[in-house]
Order: sequence, then C-alpha cells, then structure tokens
Amino acid sequence: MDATPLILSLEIALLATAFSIVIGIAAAWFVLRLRRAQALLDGILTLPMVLPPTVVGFALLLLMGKNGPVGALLNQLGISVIFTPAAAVVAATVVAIPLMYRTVRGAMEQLDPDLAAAGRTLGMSEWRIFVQVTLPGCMPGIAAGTVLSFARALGEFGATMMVAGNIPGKTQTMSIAIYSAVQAGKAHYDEALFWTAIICLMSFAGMLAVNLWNSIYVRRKGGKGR
Amino acid sequence: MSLWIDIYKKLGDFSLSMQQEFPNAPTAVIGASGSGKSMLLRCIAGIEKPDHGRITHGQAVWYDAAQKRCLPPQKRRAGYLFQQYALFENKTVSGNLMMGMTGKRAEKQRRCSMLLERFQLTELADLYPAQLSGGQKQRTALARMLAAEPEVLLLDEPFSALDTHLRGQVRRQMAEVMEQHDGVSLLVTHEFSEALQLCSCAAVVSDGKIVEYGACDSLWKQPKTRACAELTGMRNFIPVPDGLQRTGARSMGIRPEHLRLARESDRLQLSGIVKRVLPGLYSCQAEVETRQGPLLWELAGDCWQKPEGGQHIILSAEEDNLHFFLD
Repeated sequence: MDATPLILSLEIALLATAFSIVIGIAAAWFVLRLRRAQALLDGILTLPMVLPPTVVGFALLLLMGKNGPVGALLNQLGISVIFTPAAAVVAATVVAIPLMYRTVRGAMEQLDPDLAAAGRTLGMSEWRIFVQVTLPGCMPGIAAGTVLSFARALGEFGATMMVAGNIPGKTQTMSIAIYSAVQAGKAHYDEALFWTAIICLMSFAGMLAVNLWNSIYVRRKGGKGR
Repeated sequence: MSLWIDIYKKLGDFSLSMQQEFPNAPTAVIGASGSGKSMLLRCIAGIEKPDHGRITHGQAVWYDAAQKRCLPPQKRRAGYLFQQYALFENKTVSGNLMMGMTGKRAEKQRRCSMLLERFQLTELADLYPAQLSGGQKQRTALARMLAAEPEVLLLDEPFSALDTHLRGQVRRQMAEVMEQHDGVSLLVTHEFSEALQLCSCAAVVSDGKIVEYGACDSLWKQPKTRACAELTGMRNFIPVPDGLQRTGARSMGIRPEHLRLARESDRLQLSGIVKRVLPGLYSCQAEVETRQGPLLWELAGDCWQKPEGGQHIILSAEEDNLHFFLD
C-alpha cells in the first residue's frame, strides 16, 4: 500500500502543530494583557473551533484564492497556495490554534500573578519572565494543548478538502484517503480500515506520551509538597 | 535615603489615600486585614499603580502622576517578600536565588553559596520549592530577595503562612536581616507584637489611611485613635463616664491588664457580674458584664483571689491608664 497519505499527514500535522504552538501561546499572552478588545479577539481566535469546517474552508478559499487579499499578494510573488500541501498546513493550523490558545490561556490564568511580580521586583526583564517563569509554569497546559492540536490537525478533513483538495500523492492525507476509499465502494473498505487504525493508534500513543511526560514532570517537581 | 509617599488609589468601594515619609530604619505597617497595607507595599514596589500621587526614594522619582512618570519595578530596586513566597517552582533553591542576580557566572555562584550558607540552605540547594517545608521556603524567599541587592525591603506579612513554632525562629532571622539592611525596610503585619520586636517605628493603617505614625512603644502607651488602640491590643471601649469627661472625647479605652478591683477613692466605678472565667498559663481572663458594656479583665495567673462566675464585682483602673478617643 502507498504510504504517502501517512507521510503527508504527519508532515502537515507536525508543521501545523508547530505553528499553532507559537501562535497559540503568543495569542494567549497577548489577549490576557488586553483590556477592552479582549472579548473581541478571544471570539475571533475561538471561532474556528465552533464553526463548521466547511465554513472555515470556504473562508480560507476566499482569502487565499487568486482574487483573495492574501492570495493576490502571494500571486504577485509567484506563489500559489490553493491545492498545495501548504494550503493543508494553513487549514490545519487555523483549526488547531483555538485548542492551543484556549488551553494555554487557561494555564496562564491559573498561574499565580505574584510569580511575575516577583520576577519584576528581582529585576528580570519582561522577556526573561515570560521565558523563565510564565512558560515553565504553563508547561502542563502547553503539553495538553499540543496533543489536542496535533490530534485535531491530524484528523482535519473538511477545511483541508476545500482548500487543498484531494490529490493523491500531493494533498491526500490519511483522513481524506479514508473518505476516498469509502467513496470508492466496499472493495476499498480494507484501505479505509487501515488508515482508521493508524490514526487511532497515533492519537492514542500521543495521549499516552503526554500523560507519561506529565507524571514525570510532576514527580520531578516533588509532587504536591510536604 | 528615605522613602516618601503620597498616593491615592480607588478600588471599587475602597479608597486608599496615604501620605508618609519612611526613614532609613525598620518600620512596621500595622493594620487589620483589608485595611490597605498590602496595597501600599504593592504600590511602592510598582506591582500596582496608584491613580495619582507621587513616590520618591531619596532623589529618585519612582512615581509621579503629574509628570506621567512611573518607573517599572525592575528599576526601583525594591525587594519584595511575598506572603505565599512566590518561589519559582521550576527552579531549584539555588536557581531561585540566581534569578535576581546579574554579573559573571562564577561571581553569581560565589554570592549564591554565601547566601545559601547565611540562610542554612546549603544542604537544600538542589531541591525544588515543592520539596521544602514552610520555614525553608520562607528562608529561600528571603535569600532570593537579598540576592538582587535591593535598596528597599518590603516584607508582606512574612510570618502569616507559618506554624506558630516556626515563627520565633524565622523572626530572629528577619530581625537580623532588617538590622543589617542599610536602607528603608517596611514590615507589613497585623500583629503589634511583631512590630514591637522587629521595628522601632510603626505606621498604623486603617480604612485606607495612615492614621498614626510614631515609635512603637508610644503607640502602645498613648494611642490617639481607636484603630491604633485596637491594633495594639486594647479590648475595652466604653462611653466616657460622668466625672471623667474630656473635651470631644466620645469613648474611653482600658487595656484588659490595667483593670483591677475598685477602691473607695476611685472616681471610676464599673460594677458588673462575672460571666465567665477563661483560664490561661500565665494569666487568666474574666468576661465581666457591666451596665456600660462587656469588659475583658486580665489578671496575673498567680493572683491570690480568682473571680468566679456569677460573682458581683466593681472594677476600676488608674487614671493614667485610661485612654480617650474622639471616635
């Protein structure tokens, strides 16, 4: 059997997860510093989570298509995104960001504000406080967000289908391969079953890995204290 | 260098308005919980920003609303000891100490080990905060604060999270730190005994204002306000009796230990019935119901005649020990 859907899915999901980690953490940090525009920006960042994937896909298509604002700009540089693996990465990133953003934001809100204050009175720069105090303090949240984002990116179907299409060997990921196989009739159910099993295994292994990491992390910090 | 504050801040229904100069000496900030004493410390450190006013330290302007100047906490060099310590959980004890240090690595390590030794933390250097006991966390927080070489020390109820038996030990260490520090140090507390042990002067905070400032013993001997009297352990407040009137005085206070059985010649005669006797190790206390209100009477533990419940007695006090308040 051709392994390209697996490799393609992994590449897309890993890239999308990496982007959503960076964007999600930055967004959480930024939104928590806002006063007035907080609710508005929070809504925008969470929207892809509640919208049907087709709506997200269509919106991305309008944005990145040849006549869309982003697409036109890229077109001038000679880049076309639509129906390429890059479009799949964008789609997966957009749907994964809300999960990362929400989880990290929750972790940041739980963090004792006196920790950052302590850093300031000790003369640490805001950047050092962010890197050495806030981020480590949110580690369990970041880990949970990473698993959720990766699982979401790996399983992304609707939006990807609309902006990246279903080109075997180029943009056909595992979840799209399942859809194609089922569409092709009962004779291809074996193939669908195979990809289904792979996705289940990978998602499950990811969850286990993070749980394991979390328990080690907690133990290293000495548990709940004396 | 002295610290000079003149700040206003509104927080919902509560408003803070304080003007005070703090000299180069250990000073206590005493107040009940919710009186605004921690907020004062946070404003000085720069963690919170007042609505308007001015804060200066020596020649340096830390905050000036009129000039729209607000120095970030990083540049104020004010060390802050947090009530719950606020240690960095992901760093070891020595890692916590190094966070506030600047300079070369070898130099940092040298100073770190000196501080570890001074606060008996050498053995614990590689442990994480979650592995420490309350007293050890406290010492780590104290050492971390000093590692950044602050010019002003701000200590926010440093003993409140500790068990009673640990307090004595930590108190000695705190006294040493405050004595050795050359600069302003402020100790926020709600216990007058702590202020008395560690500081020569105290500011009394009540309802967002500094109502009194002075030497600790004179605040105890001659409180001018009821807030100060209450915080220094005065428990009995009654309306001013006839024959003892002072201009403007609306209430009179007597310390429980100053009450005694009345003599013929006393102008103050408070007759009442003993409600309950509370035994103690070195003194016993009696709750006495009088027409003027309930009184708490403290007797030396070895007094020859202990009162009994239901007994009818007349109490009085030396007139020097009566305090009069405008409120």
